[in-house]
Amino acid sequence: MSQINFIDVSKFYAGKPAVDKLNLEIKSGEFVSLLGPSGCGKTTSLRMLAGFLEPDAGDIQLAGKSVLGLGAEVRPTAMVFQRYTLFPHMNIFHNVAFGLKLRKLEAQKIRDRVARILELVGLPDFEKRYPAQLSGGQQQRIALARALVVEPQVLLLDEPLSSLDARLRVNLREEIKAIQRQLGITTVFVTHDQEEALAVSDRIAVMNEGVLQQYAAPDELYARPATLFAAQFIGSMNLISGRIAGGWLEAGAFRIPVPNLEAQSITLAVRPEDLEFAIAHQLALDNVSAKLEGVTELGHYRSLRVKTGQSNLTVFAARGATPEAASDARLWLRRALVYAGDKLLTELIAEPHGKIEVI
Amino acid sequence: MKLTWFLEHPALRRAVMLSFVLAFGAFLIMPLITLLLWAFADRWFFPNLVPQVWGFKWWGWILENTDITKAAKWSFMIAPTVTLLSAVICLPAAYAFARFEFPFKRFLYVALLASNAFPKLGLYIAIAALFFQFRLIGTFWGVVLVQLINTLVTMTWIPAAGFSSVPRELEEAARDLGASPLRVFFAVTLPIAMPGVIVAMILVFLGSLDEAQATLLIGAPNIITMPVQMYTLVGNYPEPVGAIFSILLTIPSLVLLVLARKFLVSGYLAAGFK
Repeated sequence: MSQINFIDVSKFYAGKPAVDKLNLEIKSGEFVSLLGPSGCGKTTSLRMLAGFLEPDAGDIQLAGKSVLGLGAEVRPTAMVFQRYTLFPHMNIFHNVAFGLKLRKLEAQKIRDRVARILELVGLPDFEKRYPAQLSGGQQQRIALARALVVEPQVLLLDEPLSSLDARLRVNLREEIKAIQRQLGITTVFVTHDQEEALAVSDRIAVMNEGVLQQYAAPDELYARPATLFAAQFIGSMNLISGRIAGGWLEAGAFRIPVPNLEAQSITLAVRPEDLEFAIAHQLALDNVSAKLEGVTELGHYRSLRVKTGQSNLTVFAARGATPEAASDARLWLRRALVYAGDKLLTELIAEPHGKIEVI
Repeated sequence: MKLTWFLEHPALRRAVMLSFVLAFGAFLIMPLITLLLWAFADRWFFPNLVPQVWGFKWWGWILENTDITKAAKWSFMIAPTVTLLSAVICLPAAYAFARFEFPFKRFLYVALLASNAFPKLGLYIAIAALFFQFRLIGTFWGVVLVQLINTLVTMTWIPAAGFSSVPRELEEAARDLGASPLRVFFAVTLPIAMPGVIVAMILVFLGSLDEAQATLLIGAPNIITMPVQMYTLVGNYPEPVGAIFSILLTIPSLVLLVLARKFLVSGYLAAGFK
């Protein structure tokens, strides 16, 4: 078993918290992403787990035992770095065999395990080549092989894909996920790319300014971001500030009955795909008037810039389903989230043809 | 017509370039040719462009001269000793300058130049006075010590640049896989920084072979190295002796440069960091 626990972990740089009282539990065999913008503390957290940094407060446990005070060389973790991953003066065989030689395995066993792991990452017969002769994607696969060959309990990935081009990044992340599933190895993946995190993770920990914002499965995270930061960071989100008063929520052009909510200032958050934009007669009665300001073609869907009242909203629409600059177009809201301050207050789902009031 | 009209004709432009290259080549090579001519001249008087009588007379004289063979022996004992000692002392310092933060780091880094800031001869005389009290005058270790002072800058600055160009990620990757800090240094950092270290060692070795002032002051009368011997030979014997001796002194440099060529031109470093 290799469950990981961060318990009240803090790390300070020049008096400022880089990681602030982080509590995180990663189950054995789980693929967890630490997601956030640069400087959010995700890499610091990973490096504390790897043993390159010591926390200033709190405890990090692996399989129930504290790993504090153990150097990176004795922790049962193996890391794949973002850049400069392979030893340039060693060929691929010696790169991959590096950790095995330190463990004093017999030469024949080393050869077998290196061959097997190169097979796994899809680069057999690369033993004799040097890192400079490999492409960026191949180098990262070898780095993955070099980490996995020592059979670590935990695999740490520090933005290993960020220096690769887009198509390769997608392919390689699928491969990493497949290998992870095959080996059942506990994996912590640091990334600033929310799409990448959503695609590969069992759970995602969203961080901002050292503080854990939300720790949830990708679908839950996308459907109900717990904080305003997570709402903005994951996917795209329309934010309209407004207020609740007398059982009504008013935000921009939208007016929604909310009989059970207290009066307060709120932010209404709406996913672009939860808005429908159409000519009036195609829609139900409850909608708001809107004006199309621009269209961006994005392949299998279109992104519309729509103005309603004072707010500019983004709406995703299927190809060909857009009314071209219709003056009497309407906007219909299917689903929205309400944030009070920074925290999620409630979720609003429109019943068919209901709930949303026209001003 | 423009002043540079000749540059517009390809043939003329090539001719101009060629003559520049030839002039530069001549500037480099002419002194060496003179040296070679003198080395094989038994007799060479003024109006002639080449010696009147060729021969190996002075080669035999030099190779049989016991003073000179003794000087060569001292030179080739002192230079490797200085190089190795300097490496042992300076490489850890170079690594520290490259990797660690400590108080007065910048100051200490620049302070290595201190011995170059004073007139050398004055410094050596002061050192000689000090060494006299410690009975180091005229001893092997006295010469080694005084030569070490000159090597500090070279042996620290060049390898420090080499060490700091090694990405930390590589050292961390090695540690992460289970290597102790010492192992990381010898398996990863040192091999990657090796070109810089080799260059520093060559410069120090050649510098020691060429050092005359300090060696003369501290080493005399017992320790006479080749450059010190050179003063005597050039002053007291005909020109061919100095010429032959210069050629002999060039051989180690040439051999070292050929051996180190692989390191000096190696491109694998930059290419590996994609």
